[in-house]
Amino acid sequence: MYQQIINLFTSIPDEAYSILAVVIFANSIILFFYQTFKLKWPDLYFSVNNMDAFFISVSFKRYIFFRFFPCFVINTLAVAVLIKSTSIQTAYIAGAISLFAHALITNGRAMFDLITRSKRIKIYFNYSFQILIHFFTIALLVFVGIVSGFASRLIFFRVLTPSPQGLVDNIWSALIAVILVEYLRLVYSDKSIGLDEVFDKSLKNISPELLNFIDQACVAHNANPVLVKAICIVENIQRPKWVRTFENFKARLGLTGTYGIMQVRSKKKISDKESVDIAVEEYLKDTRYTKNTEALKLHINKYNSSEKYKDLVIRVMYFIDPNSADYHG
Amino acid sequence: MNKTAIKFIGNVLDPINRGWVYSIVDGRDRICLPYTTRVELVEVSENFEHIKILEGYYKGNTVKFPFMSRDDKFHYSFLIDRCRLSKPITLKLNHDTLKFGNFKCEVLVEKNILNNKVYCIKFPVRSNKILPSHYFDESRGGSRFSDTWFPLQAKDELYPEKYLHFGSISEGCLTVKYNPLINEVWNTLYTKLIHSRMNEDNLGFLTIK
Repeated sequence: MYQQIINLFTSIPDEAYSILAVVIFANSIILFFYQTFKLKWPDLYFSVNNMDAFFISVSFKRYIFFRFFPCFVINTLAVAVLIKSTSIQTAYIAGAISLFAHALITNGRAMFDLITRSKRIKIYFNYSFQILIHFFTIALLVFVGIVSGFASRLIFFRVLTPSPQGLVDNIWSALIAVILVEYLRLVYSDKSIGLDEVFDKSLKNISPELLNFIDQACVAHNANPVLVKAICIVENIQRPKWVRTFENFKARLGLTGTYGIMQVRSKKKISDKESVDIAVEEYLKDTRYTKNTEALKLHINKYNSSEKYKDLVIRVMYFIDPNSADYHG
Repeated sequence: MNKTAIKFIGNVLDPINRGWVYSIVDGRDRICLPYTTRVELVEVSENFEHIKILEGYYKGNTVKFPFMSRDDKFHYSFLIDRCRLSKPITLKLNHDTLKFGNFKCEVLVEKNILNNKVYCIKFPVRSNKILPSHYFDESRGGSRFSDTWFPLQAKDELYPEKYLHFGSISEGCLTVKYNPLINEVWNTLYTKLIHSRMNEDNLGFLTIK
């Protein structure tokens, strides 16, 4: 029995061990990297409670850069160090398997949680759109893995990477660097972005023309401009401009969904202004003099029945103007 | 733009601007203008609105006023067309309690600092003191308007020597007491005062019992 196990292990080609080493090494470093940012796996980085997540999610470029670039660099270095002498096909396979494994334990797990409606995960977008983003990320990570296998054979990375012994030596200096970075992070953690800054950034991301338009639409429909702007700011946080651009592709396919900055239901693509018009006319008219927060929540409920959402809109109203409603008590 | 228009400083109540907006007087430093200040819009240029200040310490000055936000074609202004102002309010100080209508709050004031006379509450100034961060924490009794101080001046005084402000220390001023268990005290008083108008220099009165 013992001899059979020994034989089994000796029959496994050396390449398989190398691939396994890449998977373990690269995934450990990648997870450590993301852990440093305190991101809550396996969410999508889209949470208004997580300010770093907000910083990343507001821009598609940032999302791509943050989600794929670190994986690419770490995986490429891992393949370059641990698969030096085998064929390039092995490097492709190692790169792809390594990032596929990473994708499965992060985005794959998130997809599973979404499908099983687990309470561990929040729904930030349309349910199906969120699943689509995870699927897109998994597919792209596998592709990035193959590219990193190829890149690991480039002279640029070969020069950069040490031998396995050199790697062990470098780990010590890396540990010191990590401790230093963590120290700096702690020192600067008090200066992290606050909720008010998030609202302010979202407000500044809304065009002045649209803000003027909201004021005009509110006069025309006797709506509360602070309430409308608060919903607009919250929707803009939850669906940044680049996400809405993707949604517009969906609209071009003729699929019904929520579109525009105000995320109103439509069968076709609508502009931000049109979404404001629909929102004010259909959901928020005659709210101009509503001051009671519970009455305001009833109006917000037409938009989104989540208690968290309603509280957030009221919080943004307070941010815009602490006198815009009866916040006492 | 030839037509002039009367406007008010608005859109500044959020916790980032905290009731104030900076503007630039030609050839001088930046000045801070408070919420509800009445101004005359003189001209709109590419990067600024040019306004003439009609109330407060800087009345008569024409300043460059920034846009709240701006892109290529459009701008969104800090200025608003209408502002509801009330008749001058009178705050009543009785020992360590400040009253206005149903509003009541505890204050810190040293004995004999304020005489039994009527004080005018003037347009606010922005304190340049470094205030403790909890003064601004609205979830624990603080206020975003903590650095807004209202000068108090009696008719027989040449200049305002005392201030009505928010905090937990009184060094010769009338201090609305910071209490971490009671929210909104200074926000409420600030709102009442900033919307009140006696004339171009004063907002209301303070009487001592």
